[in-house]
Amino acid sequence: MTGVVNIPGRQHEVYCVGSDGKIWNTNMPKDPYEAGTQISQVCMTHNGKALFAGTGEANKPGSIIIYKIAEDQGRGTLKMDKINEV
Amino acid sequence: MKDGEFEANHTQVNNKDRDITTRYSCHTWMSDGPLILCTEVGEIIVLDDDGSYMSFVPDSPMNDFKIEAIVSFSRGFIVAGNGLIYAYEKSEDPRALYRQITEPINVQMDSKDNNFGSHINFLITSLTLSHSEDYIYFITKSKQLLKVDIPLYDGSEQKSKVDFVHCCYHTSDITGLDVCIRKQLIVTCSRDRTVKIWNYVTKTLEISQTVPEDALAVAFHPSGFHVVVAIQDKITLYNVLSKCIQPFKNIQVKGCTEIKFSNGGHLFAAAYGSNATYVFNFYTNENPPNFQCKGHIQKVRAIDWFDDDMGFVSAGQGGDVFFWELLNVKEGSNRLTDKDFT
Repeated sequence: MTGVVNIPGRQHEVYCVGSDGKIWNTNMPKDPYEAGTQISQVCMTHNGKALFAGTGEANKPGSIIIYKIAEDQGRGTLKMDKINEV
Repeated sequence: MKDGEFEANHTQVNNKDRDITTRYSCHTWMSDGPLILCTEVGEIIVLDDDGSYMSFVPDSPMNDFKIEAIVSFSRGFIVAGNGLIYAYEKSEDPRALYRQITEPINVQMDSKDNNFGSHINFLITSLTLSHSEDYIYFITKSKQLLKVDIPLYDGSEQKSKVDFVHCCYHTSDITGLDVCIRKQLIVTCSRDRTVKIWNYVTKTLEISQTVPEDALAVAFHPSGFHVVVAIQDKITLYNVLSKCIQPFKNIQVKGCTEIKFSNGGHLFAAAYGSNATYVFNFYTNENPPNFQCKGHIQKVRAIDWFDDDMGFVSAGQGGDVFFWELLNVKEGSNRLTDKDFT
């Protein structure tokens, strides 16, 4: 793992990233999000509605990917959608 | 061009009237035809527009001064290399088609007056002129963009002033970054041995301070009045003043790669050693046993405090994520083992 961030408003639940190209929610260990690229750092907005991920592929320029975080009403879990990359 | 393919007119410069190296480094075409060719040992030669040798420029820098970049302007051309810029203009003398306009401009010496640029390698790798030909913009080997108002007219008494176009950026990998909670400031540290404080609203560099060794990690106190910087063999606590940062305390630890302040600023967590995170009281620098969080398989790479500062989460290089409570120690361990994520 190379980056970890607490999810605001959800105690002991974090997003973490490493060299496997996935974004893990510790409450959903069997269902990681496939980022498709190696993420090195993550941070979240205070309202918990967006996740910013910095890419860290060796010998490639970096970028920042923004994910929209929303609660899955039926399951009480969080789902994420990529909305932008800069 | 012949049959849709380029054909070489010349593969070497013939009819030279002196011994000139073939280690060419850069060239430019003048607007009136000639080609100016520079070498790695500071020679400048003039070629006709068909590539045949015309003359040598007697005022060439020489002395093994490697000319890295050249640009032409309305009256002549400018060459640059390791910290020096030479300007030439056309002359009427048939023995010297171009003559030097002014003494070479030493950008290195001028910029060292500026505290922000004292650690930069001033080898110029590229340059260009502004439209009005009053400023030269150049890039150094340290990846910095600077400008100089070079006097391009004979007898000019004006002293050239070198300045950064935006500001002095880091010249090596950035190893740490933190955002201040109370002020619109960001602190960064780098392997170039500097710590820089940026204002993200005005988009300016507020403070640049040199540290004794490569900086490995940095954290901003929520108040904006202090920063903590890790170098190879210690963690240094700094006060943030208006123009500089001033050290006031050292903690002797080796190889700290991650530091994070709690949201209140009374504690900070530092990851060092093979597998541990240590929490220090910022005001007393105490590190009691229940603030020593060990258990990761490999190095700790990331830390994030809980919103209520009662603990933090740490992620290790071995793929494990552990939650730590600092005040509610249960069964001799402050790790919330039921929350472990591996």
